[in-house]
Amino acid sequence: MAACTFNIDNNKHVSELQKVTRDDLYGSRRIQALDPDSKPLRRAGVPEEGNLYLVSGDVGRTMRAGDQFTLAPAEVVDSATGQKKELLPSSFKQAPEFRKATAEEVSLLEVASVYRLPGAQLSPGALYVGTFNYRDGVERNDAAIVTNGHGTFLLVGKIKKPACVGMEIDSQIIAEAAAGEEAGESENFESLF
Amino acid sequence: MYIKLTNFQKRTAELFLLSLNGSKTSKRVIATANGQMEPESQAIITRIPGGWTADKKPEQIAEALVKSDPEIDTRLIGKPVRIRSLAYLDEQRKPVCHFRLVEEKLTPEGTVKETRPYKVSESNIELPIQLSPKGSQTTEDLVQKFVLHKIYQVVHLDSLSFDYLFKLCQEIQGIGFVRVNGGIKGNEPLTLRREGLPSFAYLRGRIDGDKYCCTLHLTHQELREPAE
Repeated sequence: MAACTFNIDNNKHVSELQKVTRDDLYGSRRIQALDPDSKPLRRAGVPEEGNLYLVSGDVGRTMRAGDQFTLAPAEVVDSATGQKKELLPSSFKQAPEFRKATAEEVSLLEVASVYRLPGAQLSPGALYVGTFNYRDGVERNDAAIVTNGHGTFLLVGKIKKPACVGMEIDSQIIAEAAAGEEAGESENFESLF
Repeated sequence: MYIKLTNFQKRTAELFLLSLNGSKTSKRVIATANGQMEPESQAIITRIPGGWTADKKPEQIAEALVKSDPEIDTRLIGKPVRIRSLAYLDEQRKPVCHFRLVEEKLTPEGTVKETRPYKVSESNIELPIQLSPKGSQTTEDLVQKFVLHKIYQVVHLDSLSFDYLFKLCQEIQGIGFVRVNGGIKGNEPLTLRREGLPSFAYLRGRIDGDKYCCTLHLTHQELREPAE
């Protein structure tokens, strides 16, 4: 895999990226259908007409605008303003900036991809956060660089920002209204019918 | 999704797990005669199912290509399609009624390690999930050891569960990340969805004045390199 330059705490580090997945660490699993003679079977999709068996590769995807198929180029716009979004360059083209971070910040990163950085020379226990985009795109991915006893790793995902929650629910409003009613008011049983 | 959480005092409350995925800030549009539209993805048939060369000798293929365009079937190619059900086909592309599903476990090198009848993994959060007195992690240890692949915010449903969660956050604030387990014995990793992967779960609690912030962090991967 191509090498990437990282600006970590104002120091340049160049490293190759080696993707690490669950399958690389623990292996994987697959579901297989077998006929009575234990021969593997092929999975197929049946369309709503029920007259065809479509296997992988028989179906592709195209774009539709209303009732019409289209080959027109799509552009990415801001959902709120409708303004065209600028394409952000890949981190391989523009060195991403990383700053020192606390463990608290890194613990809020929901990780989608993990890469090993064999070329990064960082001290164990060091934590940094920044952004990383493997490809050109319209949104930045959050990232963290973590060094432990196994090496230095780049974690890419989204930092979550959970907000503090207070007691702001209807039951309190109902409680206040009930307390505001006059005490000792006689019950009107006729209203129950 | 709803969960029932049992605290260290063996009291249980019903709570809600809130996904923290924000709404998308961008969308794809294309220019049409009626102005800008958001395109939809549509599945279409891209080749003759089974391939038109199946069961044909090379000379038959060559002859067919000279005579016409057998690879293009205008009744099928480009036809919008919606898959409604699944079938399993044998080598002759005939549907098979009697089949069994097996689950193969593969080593990181890709060799089959174990084969067993496929059994769907069921969610185990219908039963209360329990705080474990063992396995707590400091924040520093957690981020150095594990890859957190999903974070949920735990929120209250009523004033009783607010009090419950507020007190729990107060209690665990100094501990860091408390291990949460599922299952009847309270010793299983959590499986949130049917056919989902089991994950180890850690609960983090903070309070700020009369507000709390409680998050559930899930991991199914250690932060380490693969064995050589």
